Amino acid sequence: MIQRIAQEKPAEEEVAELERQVAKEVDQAIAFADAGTLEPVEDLTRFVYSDRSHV
Amino acid sequence: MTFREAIREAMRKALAADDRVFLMGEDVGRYGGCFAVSKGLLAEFGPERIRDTPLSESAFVGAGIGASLGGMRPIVEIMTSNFSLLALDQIMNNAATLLHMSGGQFNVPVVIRMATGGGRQLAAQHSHSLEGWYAHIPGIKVLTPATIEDGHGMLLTALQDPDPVLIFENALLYNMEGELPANAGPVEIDRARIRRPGRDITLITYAAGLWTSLAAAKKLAEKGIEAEVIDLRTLRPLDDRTLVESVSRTHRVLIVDESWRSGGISAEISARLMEQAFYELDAPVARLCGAEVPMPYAAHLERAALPQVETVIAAVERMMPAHG
Repeated sequence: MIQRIAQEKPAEEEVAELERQVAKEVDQAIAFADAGTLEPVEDLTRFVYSDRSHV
Repeated sequence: MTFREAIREAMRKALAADDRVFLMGEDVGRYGGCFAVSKGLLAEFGPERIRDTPLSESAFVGAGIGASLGGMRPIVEIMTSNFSLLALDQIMNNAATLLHMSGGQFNVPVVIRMATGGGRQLAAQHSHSLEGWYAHIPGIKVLTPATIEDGHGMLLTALQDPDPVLIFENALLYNMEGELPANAGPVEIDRARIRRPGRDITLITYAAGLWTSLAAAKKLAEKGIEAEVIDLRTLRPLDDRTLVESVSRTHRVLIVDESWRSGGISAEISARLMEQAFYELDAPVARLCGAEVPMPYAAHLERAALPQVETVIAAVERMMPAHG
């Protein structure tokens, strides 16, 4: 698809369909984020480094 | 074996043991490395494992970070710490932060090696000591090997780390010779080491400063001053416990650091000792650092800009009034 886009002028409908798919994915990501909960403040320093307590 | 050869041997072992490991950087392949650290590795491991990069630090450090995100174990060589500034965005905004930004999902197991330091008449734009700057950044580890064993073993340990590790190799040490045991392997990268025990004062230092401090300690002993010399080995994390324990015995501290004093790692160490060992101190923590100038080219000026054996001795004697 990407090669075809580079080599040929895609049909308007193909581009529109791509944009619809992307918009849908973005909407789903936003909905997921909005439905989520904020992480606790106690997690502030988590994931600065990997947890190797099991090593 | 030289310090340079010890690092090369570590890379050779890592390349042989793990297909994910590869070396990339300017002139690391056909030229054998600006400081000859990777000499011979291209012939032994081929161009897929020893990759010459374009002259673009931001691009190839970014590529190395990307490779590590994809499961590889790259050793990215930046020719000197001065040029690393061109990749600072990649190191700080990507390598150091992706784990936290992704909530633990994306590890960046990249090892970035670079030569650092002055003393070779390479002047202002090729002589920086920026390891203290990098030690400011959460999310990375900053190593400063000063011995043959650490030059070899720290790289092996770093390649096992799931997080970004920066290794600063002081260029004055590359020709340093010493013994590397046949069974030498990975070494810890989160502890300082007492290289010379003492009772009267603690000298805290790293990299080339270790050898300056040890030479000064030897001469001070002739004057009846027994200096304890601590090799920091790693600037992030700092081994507070070893430092505080030493200061609790000697009660006086001189930090010997080639980099500039303003906002430098010596300031951080001083603050920590004040916070954790204030009542153990018989005198303010003293710092002997590089002069606050761009590194001069002229040899006599460069020498004056860096800590030397005689200036360490003089600084210690100023702190020991009974001996002055």
